[in-house]
Amino acid sequence: MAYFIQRIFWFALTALGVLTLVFLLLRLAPGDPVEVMFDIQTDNISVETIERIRRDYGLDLPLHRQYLNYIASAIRGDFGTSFYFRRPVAQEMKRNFPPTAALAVAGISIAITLGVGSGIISALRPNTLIDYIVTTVSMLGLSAPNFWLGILLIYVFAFQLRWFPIVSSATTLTEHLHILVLPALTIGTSSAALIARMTRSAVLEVLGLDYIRTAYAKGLAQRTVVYKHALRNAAIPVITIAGLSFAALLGGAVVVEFVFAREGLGWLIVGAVYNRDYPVLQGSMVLLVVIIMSVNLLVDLTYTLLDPRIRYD
Amino acid sequence: MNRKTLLPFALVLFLAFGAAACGGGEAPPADTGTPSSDSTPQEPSEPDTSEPDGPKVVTWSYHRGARSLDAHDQRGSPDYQLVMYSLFNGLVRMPDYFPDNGAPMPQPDLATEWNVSDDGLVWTFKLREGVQFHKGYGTLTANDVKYSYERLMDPDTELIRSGDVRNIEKVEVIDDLTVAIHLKNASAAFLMDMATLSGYLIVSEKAVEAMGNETFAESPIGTGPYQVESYLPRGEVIFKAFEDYWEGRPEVDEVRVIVQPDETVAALAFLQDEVNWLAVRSDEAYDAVVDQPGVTVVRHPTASYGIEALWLQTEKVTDRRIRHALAYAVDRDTLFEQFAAKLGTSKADTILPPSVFGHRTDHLPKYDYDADRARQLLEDAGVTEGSLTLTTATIGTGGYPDTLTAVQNFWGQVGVNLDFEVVEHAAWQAKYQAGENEFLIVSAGRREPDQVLVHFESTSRMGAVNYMFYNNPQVDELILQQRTELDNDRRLSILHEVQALIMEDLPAIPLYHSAHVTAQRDYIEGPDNVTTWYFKPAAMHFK
Repeated sequence: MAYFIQRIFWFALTALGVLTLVFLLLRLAPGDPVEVMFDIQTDNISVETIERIRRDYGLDLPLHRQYLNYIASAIRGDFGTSFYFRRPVAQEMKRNFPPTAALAVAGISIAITLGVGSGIISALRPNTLIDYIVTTVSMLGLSAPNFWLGILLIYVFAFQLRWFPIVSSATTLTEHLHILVLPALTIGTSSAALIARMTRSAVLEVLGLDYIRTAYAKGLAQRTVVYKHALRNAAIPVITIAGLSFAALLGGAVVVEFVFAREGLGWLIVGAVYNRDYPVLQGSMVLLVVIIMSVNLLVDLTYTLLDPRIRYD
Repeated sequence: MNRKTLLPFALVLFLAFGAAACGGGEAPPADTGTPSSDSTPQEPSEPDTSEPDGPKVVTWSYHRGARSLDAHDQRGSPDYQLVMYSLFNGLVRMPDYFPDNGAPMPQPDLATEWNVSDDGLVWTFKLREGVQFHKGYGTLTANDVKYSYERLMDPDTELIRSGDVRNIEKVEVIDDLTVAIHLKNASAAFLMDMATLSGYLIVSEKAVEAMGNETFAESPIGTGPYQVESYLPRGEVIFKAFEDYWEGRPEVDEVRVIVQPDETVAALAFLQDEVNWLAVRSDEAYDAVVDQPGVTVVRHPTASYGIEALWLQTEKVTDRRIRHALAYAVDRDTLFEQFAAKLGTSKADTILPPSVFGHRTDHLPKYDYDADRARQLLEDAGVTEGSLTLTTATIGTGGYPDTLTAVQNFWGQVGVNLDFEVVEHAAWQAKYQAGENEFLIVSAGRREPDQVLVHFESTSRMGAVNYMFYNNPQVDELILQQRTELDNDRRLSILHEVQALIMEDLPAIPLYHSAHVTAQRDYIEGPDNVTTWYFKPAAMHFK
């Protein structure tokens, strides 16, 4: 119980830190949200109107007052109205969260499946051709930036082979899954590479331990030794990396959603930065912080399931 | 570029990106050599360029989504083009095509006729009878016109286009089909403003009152040839042909606007015929689609009412001789050929683009490239080699960094230094409004000359509209005169005079005029040679 209270405390403190950082960075960046909103170059709006709207949005208040208002609203779960879209931020997040969640879940599923699978194969056959191939592909996967990989996949699988549409538009579940494949592959590849490398080294380390030799000596089949004894003990570092990858993967969603023109939080955040749409940016950041910290908590709790010796009390 | 050569284009792109990402430093010069045959993927089959069966659908890919479909609360494309030509009508509108002689003038739209009082202050419009609003919202009346304008005239409005109607004093309903608009000041630009500014489009009073602004922005009700089927903010927009459109149902059944911010991907989608209409916004996109089978690239030079110019802000160039020297030092012919030939029309010799009423150049001072003269003028002004440095910031798009690099080279040849940085849009906007740039490179201009001249008026907002903080009482006086001169011949003469003054003073150095370039699958016909914006599905036909 004490552990959970402690975690929640850190959770809140981190969220406050992120909120403060986002608030300050946005205000430090040059650019006025009201002027971005209007086409000021063509003189279609009066200075008085701009000032009035600035007052309406509380942008004329001293910085500390804006900060206190913002924190108070955030605690109430009210992130206000988008400056740019004039719609409630909650509505924007509600609309943009599901596509990003789908992308992230699909991406991490691909990453874990490919990463763990190829890592095990590589560890079972160290210094063989297949190990070299997995290692090389992992290096390439880690090095390839998402926007590059995304365009490459579109070019090969959508433009040349025509297996997928270039323009993502879907109404049925099947269509949604179909158009999710390339973005999920793009976003999952670098994490898969990282997981593969981590799985390989963790499994290799465990396979050299005495209890594995004992298991083989008892006459157990390789499959049983690997999956029942080795993998479980190698899983902790792998799960740690998978958890961390999830955060990176959400960051990668910004680029992937852009290349594949998918709606989502990433694209929403980029637009909010360009438009100096403070409420949207602040709301989205809080949502991301909550997601990432929840995943971290989940990872920590998984440790206790994998290794009963780990206790948090 | 055909399909075979698209591969090197793509590979060059990938190699450059890959090298940049993996190398951690600057990308090496792109390798334009032919890739080895073993790396060549399978050649795709030729797209089907025959007329598609079923509904006639035009799919336009744009790099950003529509923020709002409310005619009175939008800025920029694609919103602007969608509300102006598909969803709404104004009382007058620009013709679809450029006339053979002279500049295009407004023509009847929802109004069939109009007259203006002798003092130019009261405009009375007779409305078209029986015009229907979308989705059963009833018949257009003069009350809708009054409501539309007053919606923006409300001092508490937050709608973006409120400035469009700031010259309106009041709107008076004479009868159901007659409305009188009382202006604060006589304005020669009034009809053109009505035809080109979305604040003058007519909304349904009943719909706005029933829905409220927020819902209306997503599901607006106008009288245009298309009505909204679905709309995702920043995402896909679908319009369907309006069966009861007063000019007759348009031929194109459905309009889809999809969002693809990456131009490479948008070009691939176009070549695949997933998108059949594209606004070409960069040289790279132009190269990718031009000369492709089944593709028609259309240039709309007459829609070009923008001017790319160097707007000089700094006190360092207060001496007119320095400004002239900076103009003589830039080889605008070469600049145009190198950076603007694909998406431009010509180098610019004046501040009013060729298709705008009042454009004339034969009486203006010429600033053809003459580096020696530039050096002499600088010397006369006491500027020694390397003693003058001008700084600016620019955005990364629109080819501005390339153009500035060329200008940097030209000015360097006469001993003037140019330093510039590339920043994102909001930061750039903040900098130029604060006068932090010593000059500005930006495109400006509209169809109506008065909308261009406001940039040179001292009463315009300094920094935001008058980029140069320019103040010339004589120019101010002429701008005011042309604004209130209702006689076209006399106005033309004033416009010629003010151009001569400005080009002599040279607060801005015009570089070139840009053209709108669009690409469409060749089963789509028209519109070409448009007078204003280019996306007009109601003027398109399927072969």
